[in-house]
Amino acid sequence: MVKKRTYYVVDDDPLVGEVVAALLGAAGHEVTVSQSSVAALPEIVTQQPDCVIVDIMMPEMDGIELCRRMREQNHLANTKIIILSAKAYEFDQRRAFEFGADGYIVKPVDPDSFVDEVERLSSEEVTLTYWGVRGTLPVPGKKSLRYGGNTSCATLELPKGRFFIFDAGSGIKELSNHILATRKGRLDAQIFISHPHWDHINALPFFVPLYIKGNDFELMGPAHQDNSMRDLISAQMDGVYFPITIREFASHMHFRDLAEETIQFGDIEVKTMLLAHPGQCLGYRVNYKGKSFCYITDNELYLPSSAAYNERYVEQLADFVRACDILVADSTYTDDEYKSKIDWGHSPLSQVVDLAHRAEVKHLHLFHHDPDQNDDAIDAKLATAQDLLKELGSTTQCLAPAEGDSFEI
Amino acid sequence: MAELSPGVVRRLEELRALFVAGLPDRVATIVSAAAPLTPELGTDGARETADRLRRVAHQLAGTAGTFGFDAPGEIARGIEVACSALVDGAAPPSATQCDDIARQVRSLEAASAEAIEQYAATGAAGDAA
Repeated sequence: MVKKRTYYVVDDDPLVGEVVAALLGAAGHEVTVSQSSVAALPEIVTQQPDCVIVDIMMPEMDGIELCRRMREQNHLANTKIIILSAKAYEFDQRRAFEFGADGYIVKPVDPDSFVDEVERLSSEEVTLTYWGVRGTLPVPGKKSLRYGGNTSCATLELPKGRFFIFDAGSGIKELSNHILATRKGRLDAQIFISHPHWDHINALPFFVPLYIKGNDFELMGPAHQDNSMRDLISAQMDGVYFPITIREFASHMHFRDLAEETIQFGDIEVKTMLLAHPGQCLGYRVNYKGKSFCYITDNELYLPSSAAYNERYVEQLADFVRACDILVADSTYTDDEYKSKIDWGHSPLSQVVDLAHRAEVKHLHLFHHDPDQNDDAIDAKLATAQDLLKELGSTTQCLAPAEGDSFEI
Repeated sequence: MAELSPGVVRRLEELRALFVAGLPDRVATIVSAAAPLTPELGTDGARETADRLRRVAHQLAGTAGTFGFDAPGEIARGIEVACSALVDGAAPPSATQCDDIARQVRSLEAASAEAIEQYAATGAAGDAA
């Protein structure tokens, strides 16, 4: 159930204001409408609505100026501002965000999707959704009905319309279907690739939004020697291994090579760290207004008894994920299975649990399950992890999310 | 996406009817705003006139599509874009520019009249059911 919010709409066209009021009112929200930005400003200051929806081109004071003046008021810091304008230029959208807008919807108003779009843009929620939780190979069939058989893909939906996709295993096809069925209008997203092993990139060509003109994607991940991320993605779509090439992507697509670094997306911070896995593999940490999420796969945490165990690395990783709200971690093997899989680049369960406890992570999500594990085996792995945490006296909560599961951070 | 309730659908229809009733006035405002635009106006005069015209065209562009009247909305957007070139320009308007805007305004009159007729006949916007 969507939380009831207060909205203040400013548009010099009274009919637009009425349409917006009708749609939001029917969704259970409280709406005030004004045709004058000059008259509206003092009312907004008094009422402190949850969200102001404002046109740009208005007489006396345009919407950008109203936005700027609102952002000068400290007690309106929590009031979201959504621009609703017929101006579709990227310049106007950038300018709106520079002056403090949280979202931008291009007119005309689509009655079928408007309320969802506004509720999404005016929400402070950060939502994690899983589209594939398996590692190595997709596992269709009866043995994976509960957890799903798709390989690695997860998304974070953040305020201001930010949409982060982690990895492009076969789960990205489910994500693609979902977006096509539920979202109207353009999609701008960042795609973070942990590393270019097949189970993390091979379904990217099936992500249909890439082929839709008007969408905008930034695909980021670790380069490998002379091979950039663009080269790595392109190589799997070379006309031989796949019938079409990246030239068919009609969306605006940027590729970016990442090292260990910190990237800022407005007030969202993304940090990266190289993980212990063959080749270059990056873990990601997303920080937003006190909330944090870590995506750590693929990664091998050696047993302390192993010659390859590196305490410094474990401590660095613990610092990287410290106190995060959700840690999504490579938990491919049980400790028994791991005995024959040492140096394969994946972790035994006990070390993942230790890491989560050591780093005082709030929630540990088991991820990247071995293809030979059926649903019952994953259930057992989860029970083992929970028992281990209990033995440690840990406050970390542990889950094994299934495909389709969503969590608010 | 939640389906719209019958109450909301009814209200949107009421608002659409209001938009249709007001469309001739909106178009007349655009025609009237466009009338003074000639090469003889000079740079500053053209800029002022084009800015006025741009604002009213912009409003129609944003609102028409909301009610399913895409054709008049897109023409209005074209007028807005053409006016932006004059507002941002540093030279007086050329005869070609003025003729182009005048042509688009005439197209807008025709498209709006057709849309109103279609609506009167079917209750639909014509561009969208």
